[in-house]
Amino acid sequence: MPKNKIARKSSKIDMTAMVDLAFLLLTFFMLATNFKAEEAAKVETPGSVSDTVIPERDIMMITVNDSGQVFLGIDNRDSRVTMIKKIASVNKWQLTEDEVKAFSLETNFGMSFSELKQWMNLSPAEREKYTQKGIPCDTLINELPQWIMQGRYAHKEVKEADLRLVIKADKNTKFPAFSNVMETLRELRVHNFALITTLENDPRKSQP
Amino acid sequence: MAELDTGGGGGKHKGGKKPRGKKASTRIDMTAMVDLAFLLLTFFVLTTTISKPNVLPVVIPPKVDPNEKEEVEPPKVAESKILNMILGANDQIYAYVGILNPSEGKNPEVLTLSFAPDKLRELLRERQKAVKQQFNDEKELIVLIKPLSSARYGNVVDILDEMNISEVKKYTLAEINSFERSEIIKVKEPDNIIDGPEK
Repeated sequence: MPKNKIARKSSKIDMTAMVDLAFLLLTFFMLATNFKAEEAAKVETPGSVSDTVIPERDIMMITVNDSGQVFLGIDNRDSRVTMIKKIASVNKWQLTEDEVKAFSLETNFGMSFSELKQWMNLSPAEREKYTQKGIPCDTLINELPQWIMQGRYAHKEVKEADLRLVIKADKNTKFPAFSNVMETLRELRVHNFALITTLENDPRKSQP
Repeated sequence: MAELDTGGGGGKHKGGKKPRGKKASTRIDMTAMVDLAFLLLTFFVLTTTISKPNVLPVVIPPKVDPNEKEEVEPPKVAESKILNMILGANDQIYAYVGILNPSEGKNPEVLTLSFAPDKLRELLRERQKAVKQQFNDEKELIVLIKPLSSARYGNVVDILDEMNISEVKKYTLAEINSFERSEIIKVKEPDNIIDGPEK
């Protein structure tokens, strides 16, 4: 007697195509990704209709958070290394290679000179937890010009390009905090800079 | 599950014939690899920053060198071209046209506005029209933006943005003068009386 077996369908699926696609996308994202720089401060930027996009590189970003603390960052790590070395030689600090390395890993930092030295003595784990208090930038003590100047010199040396200044401030920052930064830039004869904003709808475009 | 089937796998031998050397299967179990691929894919998709932030380019005037001050005479401007906007606390704008100087009998009406765009745009539009009527060019309108220390940075960006939207070509950030302090700030924001340097 012939046995009538119901043909069992294989539960094996040919995944080759899916795998191809997965790897294609993976490759794309791996190449296209641009890791978010770790932020020293949380900032909610105001909106504007400006659709100019931030330049790719050569950026010095000054971040002002809502309580008016100032942070500074350069996108290029080699420039940061040169910058801290320049700052150290100007202020006659002795820095070890480890300390320079620790500093260069911070994409954004906000510390006064005295605070910075204490911070460098901390262990890596302690540094991680440390809350930075911002670079002093007011009429009494203003350390920001030195950082900006040495940062620009450093970047010029390393990349042979001019740094473009970008200010990223929280929309609830009180005006004087921003004004201090702006006046500092004016003193340094930096008259051209940009403010980071979130894109909003342009009412001119929505109207016919 | 996932396998590459190239056919001709190690078959079973029927009958009692000589067992041939077993062919190794060309099927590879890809499950683990696929798992890993998707894990990495998810990671990169989530961490990648797709949209870059937008920027509002700003150009500020250079600081006037006190030594050169005498040589450069500030340009004379018709009062009616000027619109003053003082940015105060709680998102308020105090706006007036021309010059405020009670000792010379110049007491323009001070409007209190919020940042509601329609009112603000209406005012700018109205001033542009008035300037156009008088000088035949609406680009002649000059807006002086004077943020108090009680203003927020967001207010400043909003007003700069409003200048772009309304296509005001001449505007600048300025500091309040003593008349504005005594006439406007004292009345509207008595807490802020220390604001701004004496001019």
